Amino acid sequence: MPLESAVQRISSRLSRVGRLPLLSRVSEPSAHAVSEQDAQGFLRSQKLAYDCAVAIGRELQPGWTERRTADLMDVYLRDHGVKTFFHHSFAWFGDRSSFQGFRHYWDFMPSRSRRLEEGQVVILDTAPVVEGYAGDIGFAFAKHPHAELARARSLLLAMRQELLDLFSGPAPTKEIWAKVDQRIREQGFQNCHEKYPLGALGHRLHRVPLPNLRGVGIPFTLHAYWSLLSRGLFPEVLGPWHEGEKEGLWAIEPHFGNERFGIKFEEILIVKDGQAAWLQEDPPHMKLPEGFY
Amino acid sequence: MSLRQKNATLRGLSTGWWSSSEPAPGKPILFFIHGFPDDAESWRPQFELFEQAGYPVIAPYLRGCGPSEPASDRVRYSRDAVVLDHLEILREECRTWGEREVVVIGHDIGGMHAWTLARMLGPRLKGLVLVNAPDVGQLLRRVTRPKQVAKSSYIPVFLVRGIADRWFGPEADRSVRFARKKGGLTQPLPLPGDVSSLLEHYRAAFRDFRRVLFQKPDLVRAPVLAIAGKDDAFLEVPTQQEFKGYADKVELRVLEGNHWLQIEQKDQVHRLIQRFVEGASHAS
Repeated sequence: MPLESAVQRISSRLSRVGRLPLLSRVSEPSAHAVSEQDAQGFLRSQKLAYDCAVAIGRELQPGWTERRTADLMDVYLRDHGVKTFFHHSFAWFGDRSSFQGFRHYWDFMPSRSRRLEEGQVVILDTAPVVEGYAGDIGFAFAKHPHAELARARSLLLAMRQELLDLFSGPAPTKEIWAKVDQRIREQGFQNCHEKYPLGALGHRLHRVPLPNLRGVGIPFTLHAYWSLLSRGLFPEVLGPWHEGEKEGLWAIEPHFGNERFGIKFEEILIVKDGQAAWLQEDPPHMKLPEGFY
Repeated sequence: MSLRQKNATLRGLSTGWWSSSEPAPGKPILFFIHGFPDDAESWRPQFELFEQAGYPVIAPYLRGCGPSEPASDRVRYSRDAVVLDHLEILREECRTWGEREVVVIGHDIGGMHAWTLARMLGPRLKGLVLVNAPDVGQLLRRVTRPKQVAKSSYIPVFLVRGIADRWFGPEADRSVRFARKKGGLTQPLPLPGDVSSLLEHYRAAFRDFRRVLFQKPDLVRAPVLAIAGKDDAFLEVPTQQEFKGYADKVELRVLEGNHWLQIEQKDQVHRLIQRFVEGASHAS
């Protein structure tokens, strides 16, 4: 197919960039083989990111804008020593948490005008780099009991287990994408992660070079662009057409919703010798902290 | 009296504040934020009186001052970082007191932190009191007022690292006495010691000038009481017009006096704040 061959050609050319003589020295090896030390590094980054989302989520009040919320998350992370990000923080409220009406890349940016209203669902998503390890989390919640969200969360947590089975099984990655999509639609929800750039259900995460260099770029930093582009981009993003290895480390972010709200989680999944396991056993969406629904 | 000084490691840094130990139920928290070159003691004449009346009071030491250790990373002095510290202090106290509404009260540069905290509290905010304390944006917009420019001529000096730090560093007592004398403080107030780290609050606010000048501030919808000194050596008397876009309901009171009204006009300021707090409570 012309599109597939074009994707392969672009991907191949992009991945040559990372192998250029000087540039290859600043590019960490691919995370396809994840050592125990690396796993602990990524875990630290994930935990800090989740701590941030919970801390800011706890303070979140009606009237806060998405932009203010995201900025405070970045401030929290900077206060904890983060110098750069894979991407800066996002906050989406209400129907924006399911990307209603999003058409352009900049629609995803936290809004300066959207203010949190009582009872709305919130998604906080942030990706700090800690000691060179990029983390990426997504956390959906409401500040008051929300029956619809609770039902969606049950489906999301069931999907968390199903993803382990899929990644441990023989299905190729694009089939995994299709199965998740089918599952979402069967339950009467819209697939929201298909609206992410390249329809990402997930993406690779790597150690980033020069982590003490302050991150430039909005919302993804140059560190992120380098990380993905120098490895060919397309094999790094698990979209509906993905072809490539399952082994190694992924940030997996199933995201679905309806016209009123969306729900997601984003966690690191490590596939080693054909067996998949979540890096973190106890992220906040598994057992919601007090005051979160 | 049941005031106690508390210390805790909040967000990785040792932070100190005064708080009540036995507040009466149902009363809103009064959160007092001091200015420069002061510490939390500058609010004692007020918070002691309110504490005796059963109000839960909190009076933090700003980052870099007294028991609130200075931060090596200057980002910790930004208004956003300080507001996260203050929210953390509120959370600590509300574990014992239960969730309560809050009246935020600021003096001098404590006022800019008071505005920031007020904007973050949502429906919990009952009111905002500013004593000799414009918001950063209001002060910057006074650049068209020559008298204010003259009164603020010390600020550019504060922004340059190394100059004012010597004056307000280990031998700060003389400089603090000078500043207080200029600001009309005649009542005794303990000297705070080395307050050079407080200069970082000015510098952080300046680094944020793009957001201050070009972004519309969030409107504070709770009542605001602004108390100004007619003869304030550092600040021109504000106008009602200055608050447009900042707050819905502003009561402006101009008193005879200079820059440390909460001490020099202690009883008058106390009555104004008390009436405001009771009025805000009844209005809820």
